Amino acid sequence: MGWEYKKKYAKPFLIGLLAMVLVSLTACGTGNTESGGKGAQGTSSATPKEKVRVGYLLVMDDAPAILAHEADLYQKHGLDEEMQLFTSGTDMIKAIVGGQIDVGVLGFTNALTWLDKGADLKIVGGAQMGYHSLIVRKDSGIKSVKDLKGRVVASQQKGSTADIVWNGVVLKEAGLAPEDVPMQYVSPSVAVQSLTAGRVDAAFVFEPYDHLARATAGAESIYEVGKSWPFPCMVVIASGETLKKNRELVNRTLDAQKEAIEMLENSPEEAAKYLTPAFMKEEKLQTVEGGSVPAVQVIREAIEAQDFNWDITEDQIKKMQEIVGMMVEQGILKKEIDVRNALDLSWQTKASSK
Amino acid sequence: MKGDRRVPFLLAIATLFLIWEGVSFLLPPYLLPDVPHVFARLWEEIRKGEFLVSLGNSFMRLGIGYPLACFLGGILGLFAGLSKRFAHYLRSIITILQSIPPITWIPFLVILFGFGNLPIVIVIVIAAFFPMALSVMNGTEGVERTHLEVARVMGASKKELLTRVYLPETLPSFITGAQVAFGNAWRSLIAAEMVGGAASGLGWSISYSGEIADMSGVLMNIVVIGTIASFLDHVLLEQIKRRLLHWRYVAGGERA
Repeated sequence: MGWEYKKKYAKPFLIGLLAMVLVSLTACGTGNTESGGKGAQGTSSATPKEKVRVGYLLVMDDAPAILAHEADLYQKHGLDEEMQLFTSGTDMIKAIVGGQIDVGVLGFTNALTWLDKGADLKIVGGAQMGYHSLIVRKDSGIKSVKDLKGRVVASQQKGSTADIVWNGVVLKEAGLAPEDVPMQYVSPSVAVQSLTAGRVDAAFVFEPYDHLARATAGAESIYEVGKSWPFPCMVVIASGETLKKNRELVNRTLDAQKEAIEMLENSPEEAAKYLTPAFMKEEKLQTVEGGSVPAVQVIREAIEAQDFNWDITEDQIKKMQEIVGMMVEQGILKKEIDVRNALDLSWQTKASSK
Repeated sequence: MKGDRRVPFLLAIATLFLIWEGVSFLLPPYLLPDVPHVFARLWEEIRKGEFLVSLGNSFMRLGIGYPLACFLGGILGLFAGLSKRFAHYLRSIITILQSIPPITWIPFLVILFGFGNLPIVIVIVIAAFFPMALSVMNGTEGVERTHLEVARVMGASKKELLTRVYLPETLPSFITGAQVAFGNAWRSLIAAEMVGGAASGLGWSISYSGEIADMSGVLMNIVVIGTIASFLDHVLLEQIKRRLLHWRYVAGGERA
C-alpha cells in the first residue's frame, strides 16, 4: 500500500473531519451560553425555568445529552439548560467535583478513579452502552483481532475506558498479551488519519469516527467490542452535593435525557436530523469512490449502530464490577471498590414504575 | 549563581511552595495533594526506576532536538547577516511560522513520519529554531560597521569576515538566543509528549496521571519539569554564558 492509497482516502476523510472540527469549534463558541433562545413549544412559560448546567463531550456516545438540547427536551421539562462542552471526561469530572456543572455524561470509569481517591460523586442514570469499533484498511488483510499480533494499533488515551476494555476484553478474547500489540495513544481523528496514511494497521474508535472512516476513508470494521461483550460505558454523573441540594433538578435533567434516548432508539431518522448540525458543518461528505453521502445518513448510521439506554440493570452492574477488576489488574485502581457504592438509582426506580 | 542572586532565587522557590501548601489546605487532597505528600511520591517513583527511564527518554529527545535547532538557527542567522535579501526572506518566513504554536504540527508530523521520537524531535527543532535565528540575525545586524570596514580594507575575504568579525561579535546574541530557545524547546517537548502518541516521557506521564485521577502524579511531574528547567536555564546556561562572555561581567565593563 503506497501513496496512491493515501491520496485516495486522505482527502475525503480530512474534509469530513474538518467539518467536524469546525462544528466543535463553533460549539465551544455557542454551546456554553446558549440558553432559552429556542422557542420552547408546549410549555406554559408562567413558571420561570430552572437553570441547569450540563457537561458533555462532542461524541456520539453523548448523543442523549446533546439531543435533549437540540430538540428542546430540557425546556420541555421546565429547565433552562446551559451546555458546557469538554474535550475529555477527565476534565468534565473535575468540573463536577468543583461544582462548575450540575450533571455530566461521561464514561463511568472516570467516576470510579475519582471515587477511589475520595471524591463525592454518584452515578445517577445510564446513557449509552460501550461501543468501540476496530477499523482496518480494506486491503490490509486483517480479518480478526488475532491477526493483530505484531501490528500497531491506534487507540485513545491510556487508562481510558477504551484502553481498559481493549486490554481486559479484546486482547484476552483473542488470546493476545498487551505486549503482542504495540499501541499508539492519540485522538480519534489522528487515529483515523494515521490508519489512512498507513502509519498504524488498525484503529480502535468510537462514533461518529467509526462511520466517518467507513464512509470517507475506505475503512472497514472487523470487530466491535459491545457486540461480543456488552457493557455500560457512558453514564450520567452528579456530585453528592448537587443531589443533596437539588435532587429535583437532576431528576428533571434525567427525564429530558430519557426522552432523548427514546427518540434515538425509536426514531433514529428524526434524531439524526437534530444531531447532524452539532457534528457536521457540511450537508454532504465526499466518499472514496468520488461520490458523496448525506451527512445525515452517516449520523443516522452512527446512531443505529449504538445502543442507548437510560436504566442501569443488574447485569450492567455486574459488568461494571468486572471492569473494576480489570482496572485493578491494570494498575489504574489501587484496590477493588464496590460499584454499588457509586450508584444512586432512586430516579431510575421512580421512572421505571411510571 | 552569585550570592546576591541566590537568596532571591531561593525565596522565589519558597514562595511557590508556600502558596501551594496554603491552597492544599483549602482543597480536598484528591484535587490538590500537599507538598510533603508529592515529595514522598517522587522518592517512591525514583526508587521504582520506571520514572527514570521516562526521564531519560525526554532528555534524549531534548538532547537531539535542541542542539540541532541552535545549530540551524545560528548558521542561518549568520548568513542573514551577510546578505540583506536573505535576511528579509528569513525574517518573513520566521514571522509567518512563529505565530503557529509548534505543537499544532504534531498530528501532521505523525502522519508524515510515523510514531516515535522523530515527530517530537522535529517539534523541538521548530520551537527552538526561531528565537535562535532571530537573536543571531539581530546580532549580525548590530555588528560595528567600522570593524567590518577595517577588516575589508585589510583584505579580509567573506570567510574571514565571518570567522574574525561576525562570530566573535555575535557571540553574546548566540548565547541569549540559546537561552530563549531552551525555554521554547523544553515547553514544546512536554507538550508534544502529552499529545504525540509517545508512550514514555515526562509529558506522557502527566497526561496518563490526569486520565486516571492521579493528581499527586501530575504535581510530581510538574515539580520535576520545573526543577529541571530552572536548573538547566539558570545554572547551566548561565554558567556557560559567564564563562564565554566573562569580559562583560567584570566590574567596569560595558553593559554589566
